[in-house]
Amino acid sequence: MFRISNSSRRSIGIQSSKLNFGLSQRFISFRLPNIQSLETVKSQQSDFEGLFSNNSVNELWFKRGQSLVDGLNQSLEHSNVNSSGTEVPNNLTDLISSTIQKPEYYGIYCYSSLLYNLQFFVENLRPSETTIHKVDQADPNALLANPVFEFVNQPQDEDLKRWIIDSFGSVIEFRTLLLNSAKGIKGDGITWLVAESNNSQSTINNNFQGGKASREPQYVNLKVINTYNTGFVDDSIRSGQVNRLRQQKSARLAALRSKQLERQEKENNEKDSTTTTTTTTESTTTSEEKTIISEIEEIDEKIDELTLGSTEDADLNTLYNDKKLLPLLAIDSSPRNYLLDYGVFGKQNYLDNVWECIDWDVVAKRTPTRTQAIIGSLYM
Amino acid sequence: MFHRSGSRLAGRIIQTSRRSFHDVPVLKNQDQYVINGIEGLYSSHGFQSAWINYQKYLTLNLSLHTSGSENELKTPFQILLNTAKQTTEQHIFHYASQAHNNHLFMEQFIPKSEAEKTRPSRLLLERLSYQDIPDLETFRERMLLLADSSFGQGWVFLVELPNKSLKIIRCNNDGTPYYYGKNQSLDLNGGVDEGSFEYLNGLKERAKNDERDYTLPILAINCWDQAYLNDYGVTGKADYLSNLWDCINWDVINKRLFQV
Repeated sequence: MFRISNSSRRSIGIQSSKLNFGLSQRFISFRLPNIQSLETVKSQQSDFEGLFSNNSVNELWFKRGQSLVDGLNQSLEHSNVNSSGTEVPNNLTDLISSTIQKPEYYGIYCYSSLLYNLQFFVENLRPSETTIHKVDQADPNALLANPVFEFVNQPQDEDLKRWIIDSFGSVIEFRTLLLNSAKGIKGDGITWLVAESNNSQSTINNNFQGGKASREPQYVNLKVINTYNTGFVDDSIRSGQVNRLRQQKSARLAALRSKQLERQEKENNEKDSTTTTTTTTESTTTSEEKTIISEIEEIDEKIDELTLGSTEDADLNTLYNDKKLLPLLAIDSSPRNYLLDYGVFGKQNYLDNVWECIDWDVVAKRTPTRTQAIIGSLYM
Repeated sequence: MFHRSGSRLAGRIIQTSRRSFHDVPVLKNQDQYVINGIEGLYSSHGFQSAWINYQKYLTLNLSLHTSGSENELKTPFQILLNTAKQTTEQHIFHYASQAHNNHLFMEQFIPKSEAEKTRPSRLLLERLSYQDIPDLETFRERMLLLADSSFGQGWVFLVELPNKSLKIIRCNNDGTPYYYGKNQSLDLNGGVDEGSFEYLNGLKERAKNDERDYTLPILAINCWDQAYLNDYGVTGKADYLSNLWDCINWDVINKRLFQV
């Protein structure tokens, strides 16, 4: 039963995406993009020199990519976004930002985020002739090996290199931080090099005083950041959810409280006149309201100004998580990437090889104009 | 007199200075599985990767990280309980929790032809029926669907609560069923709904009250890539889960349930 439903799900996904292309223009349907270097690997049945075997490329990009695309198309179809009349974004970033805060579109968000991350990662890779380690199964001794500090590949673009050195100290320090961050992820996850804006998104919006330029984020620093599972790197579109839920709850509680006060006053007034009406007002207090009211009283008792803040407070108060983060480089360190070619013990070898395969031209193209952190920016 | 106490002292010194390191436990019929794999579930290579190599990876890392520390002589189970709340020891928690979960997981399987001869006990089915799971087929579907529908690495457990009722829980990544604060059942990456928010607040409340957790796992499903990638490929999770169910040795599962 389980198996049947599963395989039928997949075939439906493929069929419908074909149908959508032919028949309906209102339905948005995604396709696996063409990545030139990977298409070459596939057509020539060669290896991805310096990093992946032919089989791995097939598994990681063509098979997994296709199953993510199918999953995305299928969840788009199952949710009513297509039929609800609202415009469905036809690119992944817009789709992500329009679904990331909506629990009802969890599936759409997850698939589009995974697809975006995967594509972002493979696009900044190129085959390399210099390899640190052979693309081969590693043995337990790999865990005891000394770290490798020799490397050949590094950014050629002078501005980008300067910016990396100013942000991290040197290229080798950046490499160590990047690869160790990737190594620290135990499950699925991606390590990113991002350009961080100087102000949070809300500050930029609040301080808007005419002039288009001042509303654009200014990028001052480069940072290394990890995201886990289906996480999306730009926090400016995600943050504030937990806090919003708390505010909603407290607003609801406050409304109930004022309602309760009103009722009490009314009761007091009416007590003087008749006794029959008071019994009816009491019965209108539903059991649900009663539990919430008792909850209010409990919360009132528990408020303690001396304890350290909660996750919501952090969510609210850390300006950082509202900052615009522009991704430049992605390193996927999920186990699937190294298990096939490098084996259980091969993560470090894989990461050393990934560094050699970074396509710095692509990274340089993604890099925004750098804003020097100067006092002049105060006078904007 | 002096001599005796001296020897006793020497004995104690030997005992306290005993060094130990974590190693891969030997499964029943392990030698046979290394050669032939587990029929219906793993090839020889697949079994070696999922058990011999991965467990070696976990236990070797555990030895490296705990050597010379208070955790050196503890079992993975004790270490995972000991480190679950320590924010600076989460890397050790990872290896301990994974090593324990993976052992619990691998003990459950025998070749398909033998597994067919075992059945879930009446007690187990009866307990499941209290949880709105009327038959084995429904149980299978619930467990496997939860395992297949989660994004990323993780575990699905059937657990027994202190009141002896059963429950299915999902643990993301290296989550453990033994402590509610480290179940890691929530994924807050996408939209956060009110249920998750309340659950989160509930956890905080329980932790603040120092509530203890006496949950015990009965059946474990490993959704980590390490468990299936070699034999089933990146997109083969559904096939793997389906095969896995057919190789469960129910005699092992039945014994894990609390017997009156």
